[in-house]
Amino acid sequence: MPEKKCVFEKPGDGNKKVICKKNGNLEYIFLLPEDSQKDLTMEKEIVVEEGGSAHVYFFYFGGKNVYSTVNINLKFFSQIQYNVIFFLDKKQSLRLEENYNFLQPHGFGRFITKGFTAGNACGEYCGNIVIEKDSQETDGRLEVHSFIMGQGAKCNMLPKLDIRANNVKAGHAASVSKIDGDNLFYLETRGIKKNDAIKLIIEGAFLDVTNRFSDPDIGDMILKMAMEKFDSIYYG
Amino acid sequence: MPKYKRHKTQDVISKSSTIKEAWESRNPAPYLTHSKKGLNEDLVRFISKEKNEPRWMLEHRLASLKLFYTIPLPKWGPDLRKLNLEQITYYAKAVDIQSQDWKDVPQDIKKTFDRLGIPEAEQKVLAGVGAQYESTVIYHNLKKQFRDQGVIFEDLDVASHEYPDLVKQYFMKCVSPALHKFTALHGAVWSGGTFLYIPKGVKVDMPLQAYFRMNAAGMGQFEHTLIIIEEGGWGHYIEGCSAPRYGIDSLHAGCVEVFVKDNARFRYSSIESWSKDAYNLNTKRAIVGRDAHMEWVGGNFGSAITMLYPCSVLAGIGASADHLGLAFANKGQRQDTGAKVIHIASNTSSKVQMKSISKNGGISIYRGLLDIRAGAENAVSNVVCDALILDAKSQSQTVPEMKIENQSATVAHEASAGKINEDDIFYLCSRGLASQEAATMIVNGFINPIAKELPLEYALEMNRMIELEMEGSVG
Repeated sequence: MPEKKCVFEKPGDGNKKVICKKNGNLEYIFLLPEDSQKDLTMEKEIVVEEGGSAHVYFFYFGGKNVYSTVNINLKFFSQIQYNVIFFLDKKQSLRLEENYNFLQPHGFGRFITKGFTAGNACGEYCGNIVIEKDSQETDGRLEVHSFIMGQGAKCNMLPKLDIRANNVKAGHAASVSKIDGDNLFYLETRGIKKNDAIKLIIEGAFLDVTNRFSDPDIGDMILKMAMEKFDSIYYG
Repeated sequence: MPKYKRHKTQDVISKSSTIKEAWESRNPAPYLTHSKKGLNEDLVRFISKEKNEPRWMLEHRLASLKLFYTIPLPKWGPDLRKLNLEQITYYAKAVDIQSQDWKDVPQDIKKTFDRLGIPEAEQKVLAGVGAQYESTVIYHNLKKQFRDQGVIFEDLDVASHEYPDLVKQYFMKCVSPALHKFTALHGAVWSGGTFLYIPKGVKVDMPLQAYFRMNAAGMGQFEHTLIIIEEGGWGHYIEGCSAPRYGIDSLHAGCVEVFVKDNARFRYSSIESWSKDAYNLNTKRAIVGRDAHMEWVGGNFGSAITMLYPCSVLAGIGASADHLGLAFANKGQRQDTGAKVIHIASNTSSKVQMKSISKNGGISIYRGLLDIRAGAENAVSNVVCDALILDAKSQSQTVPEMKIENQSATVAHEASAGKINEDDIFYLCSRGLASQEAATMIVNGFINPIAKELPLEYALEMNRMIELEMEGSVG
């Protein structure tokens, strides 16, 4: 396995195209931090070349009205694990438009998005798995799970599939709910207060992703950002 | 172990071939000499005058025509620009008098419906039947036991005269002519269709059926189905339709409106097998009251382009809806179908299960909308769509939109796409089935959750349609 190349970026770093080279191994982390309070429009292209393996993570905490377009292009025998987590509050608005394009055969992709929407925030997700005509033996799956935590919060989702080859595995799943009542109940029966239980569940969602980072300091920083945001929502 | 009679492929295909002959049969259409192609205000006034309609209906038609001219074609979905609306015959009357006895129906028309099995089904399993040929209903009947309970099952043209207040109260209140270009067109030129009224507390325990048949080349059919189920009522209504193929575009822009009042239950089933040169741009919607339940069960096999998204508006607390659908897209076909559910009230629930099959270059698309409004506390919804792509030429798309404005909603959606597992084919072949039989059996299993909700005779017909479509699919 080639050595993993790790890239950590924030808005303004100016990198519109991220490439995982042929037979390469890439870890890419993008963070929109809480202290960013402006409107933001961004566009990124991620290319995974033949035989490449990419682990890509996007975290959205800040911004006022954010419009993010991400196009992922997968070549022959390439793989990608793509995770997005957004955590919105007050009147934040986030629109994600993502296209996962399997351009050649034998591609593999797992695209998982989790969203926590509190206050009067609005999270919109539009994701599209496109499997081109000759991209046989492709395996692509998209999941998006949104948790609505505020009375005025909204969520719009449009997870699409556009399948033009037949010898493929393709699927998607989506769910929208409050933080799971059964999980909360279980934690409360263990003596944990409700808000702390919610915090624990959110922490678990982040840890599930940040634990995979090669640089644990980045993971700790992102987790800390998530917990501070939670505290500002629930404890003022 | 019970002995099961194994159906030989040839026997099944021969029965399926009888259905195919019924669909493809054509009768002469001398009545077309009195009809013109294209649409204008004179035609709309002519239709209204022919039917001796009240003033309000003529005004409604003319207002709809104005809307039709102003609303553009949709910018999403299949490309409709090739549909030449000026080459469609919007109104053609094959017979002057409607019958209540099949003996009184002209022989050539009766023969068509005989081949489709309608009179036979009426005797055996149905509470009533309406049969529409081109623009008018040529046969309508309801069994006495249901008439005596106050059930009204009539041709809508007749009902608009016999029950004018009832029709006026509900007509195009569920589906507005302003909804899109083809509801506006429908509002202007609608003709024929069904009026079904089930009074409070009455349970109609046998299905009612309407069958719509386009015969002539380049026809348009715009039947309107208006269904009112009063509180506590029960009913099941089945629609079938077909048309022969001429290689010239034909158009079906029907409309179905269903009002399911509090505590009522209603199932609307349809099997659509329009010819493969038809545009099927149908609009169906139900408004569901408190603790009421609505079911849509549908199979779409025909037409070159279908755009069909039955919609349930869950307006009453505790209302629920189930949508079960199947679409089969063969060569040259684009089946753009799905379901829309709008949760307005609290404690509402919905379930959508869609299956699609694409073969020989066909394109099947699931297009859905799940809209949970801010006031819909504790709404629950589950959407599942599965697509089977039988060869490398075919395509499948899924476009399920979800808009959630209430934090107490619980929504889950799942979709998958793939081909028939080769190991399953191998297993069945090793048990003595030919590869095509094996593929057909697997596909029938795939659609079974939908087929089993239909009355047996219609489930069998759907299976036969699958067998016809599957011919030549393996190898």
